[in-house]
Amino acid sequence: MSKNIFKSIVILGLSFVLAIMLVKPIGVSTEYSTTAGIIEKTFDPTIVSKKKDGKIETSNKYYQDNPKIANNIEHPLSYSMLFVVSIPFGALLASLIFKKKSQLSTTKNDNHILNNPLILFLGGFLLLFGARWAGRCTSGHMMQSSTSGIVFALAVSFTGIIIAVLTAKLARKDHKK
Amino acid sequence: MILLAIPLGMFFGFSLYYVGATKPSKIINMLRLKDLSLAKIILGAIGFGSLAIGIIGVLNLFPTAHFEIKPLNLGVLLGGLIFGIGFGLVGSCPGTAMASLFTNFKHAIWVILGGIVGTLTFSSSYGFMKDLGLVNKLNFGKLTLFDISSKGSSLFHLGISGLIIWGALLIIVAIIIPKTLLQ
Repeated sequence: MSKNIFKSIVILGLSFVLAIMLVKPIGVSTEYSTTAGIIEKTFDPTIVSKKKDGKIETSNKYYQDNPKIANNIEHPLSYSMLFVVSIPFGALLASLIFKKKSQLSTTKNDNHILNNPLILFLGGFLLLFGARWAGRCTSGHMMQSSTSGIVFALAVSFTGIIIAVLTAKLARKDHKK
Repeated sequence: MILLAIPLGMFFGFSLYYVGATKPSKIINMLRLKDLSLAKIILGAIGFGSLAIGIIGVLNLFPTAHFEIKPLNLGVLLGGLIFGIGFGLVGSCPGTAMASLFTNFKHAIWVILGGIVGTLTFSSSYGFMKDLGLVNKLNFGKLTLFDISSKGSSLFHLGISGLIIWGALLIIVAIIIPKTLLQ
């Protein structure tokens, strides 16, 4: 194994371990739900509301089954939200330190679909719809040897590989034209 | 405790950038089986994490209350298949889209906006989907390979030390998979 891959494994692995050691497994997709709920609440305050006795009431079945999300919609400043908001700052820091490995140096062949906002929006939609359906998105779950994490990873690889290979073929056809 | 979110979140974002996971082309080339270095890194990192938790756990120093096992059910499979389509289309996941918000804004912002609309659509259709059994059917509960905590069930009864085996196994897989399968 090359030195770079080894270093990458240790750094990424440490970020998983530190999070679960100190607080809890890394979770990002839940915060998309919380954000969506906060936006929803500005249009329809009854979706999640606090009763006089402090209990949180919600008219949505998903939030009823996931009281943590309902609670975070009512109190947005949570550990999880702060964690997710901090992610881009850490990445920015890394990009400033390792300028040579700039984002711009990505291979430019057949990646035009990566620049199409409509495809990106659709992709983001499917990512989060799927992540919430499965109740997770991160690899932090496989670390605990959870079978659901393993099934999730296999399912993602299955369709992920099919779609990525298909888009490569489409791109090649386009190129020939 | 809440302030720990800032260094932990930053370190996670830092790591994602460092290992190249914020580059959509890197993820797409991994899925096209052209460049498996990122797959080696992800598997290796999960293995490293399991191994570390296993060792710390055997020494009785791991706060097992921090484990969060999610149940295995039909939703995990179907949601995973849908997630994979998005993953293959855009080459990012919910975490790496956040991580590239400042460094690759034009890409990240559309994925994030799509994601918010995706969760909104999911939370609105959840009641209907649940009634159809699309979420909870085939429920195996919080099943793990190893009995790392007293909650949930497990396939092998080795306690938290099982994570050492699991971690070692993942690291071996990470080492032996080739860097490239297809040209």
